[in-house]
Amino acid sequence: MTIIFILFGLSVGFLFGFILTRTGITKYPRVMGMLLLKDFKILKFMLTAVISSMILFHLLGDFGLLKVIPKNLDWGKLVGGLIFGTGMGISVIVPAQWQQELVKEKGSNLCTIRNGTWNFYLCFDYKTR
Amino acid sequence: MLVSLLSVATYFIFAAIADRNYPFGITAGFGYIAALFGNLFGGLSENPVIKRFSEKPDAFIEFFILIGLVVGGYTASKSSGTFSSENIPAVWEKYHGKSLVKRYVFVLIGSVLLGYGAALGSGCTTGNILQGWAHLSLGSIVAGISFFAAGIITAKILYPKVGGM
Repeated sequence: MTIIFILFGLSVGFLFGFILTRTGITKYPRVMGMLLLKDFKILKFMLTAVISSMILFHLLGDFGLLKVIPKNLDWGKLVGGLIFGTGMGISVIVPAQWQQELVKEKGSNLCTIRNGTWNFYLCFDYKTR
Repeated sequence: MLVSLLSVATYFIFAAIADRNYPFGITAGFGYIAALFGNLFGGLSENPVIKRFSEKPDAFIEFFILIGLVVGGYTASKSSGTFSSENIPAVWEKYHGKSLVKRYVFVLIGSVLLGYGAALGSGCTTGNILQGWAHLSLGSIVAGISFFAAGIITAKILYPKVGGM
């Protein structure tokens, strides 16, 4: 089963990374343009993906083929969202973009990975208190 | 459209191989990396969050999604002839100069906030927007709006002079 998990993860990641890079939405000027409300390509990409998958999910759900489990609303979503957004504005990086960073901006990417990991420790600490 | 098909297919396959509908995302992959380090320390290995990332199959799979992302991104940039190596993005250099230290300090601070926020908000842009909004999850809608609200305000404060790009 482990090998199936690995192959599945690698395949999904490969396709996702390929699509993100080919569409160009992981580029620094694009992310910056989105945050400065000057370039809406990322927004169009995201909303197209969201709306089309929303239709598919709910259609398949109605047919009983899958069960949609919505995430709960809690304070972590709001506070975490604001913290995440501030980080996005400062570094002009979103997590799915880090594969692009590895290709183009080596040093920064290492920081992103290292801190992405470190941050979970901080959160463990917060959540277990 | 391709991303939505990928997202729906992932949901199906998760149910088939892991017997649960895990949402498509990458944040748990970082959690898995954190858990790997956490398990090196005796006291942390019993932490419920570390245990969750160590044991649940979605975190293990998302770790390999992260690896696949790099390979996919590299292949796409190589195949389209857009592959190039740079230390500082051109737009950054235009407004903040050539200092690598300054760039890395910004990335360092931003990354700490990104990781902490993603862990608190139970997901990043992929999990909360691409997947969460498609599920019409109220929590994800609030998280996604918060991402953009804080990101836009921060960017407007940090780059007030950016007129046209």
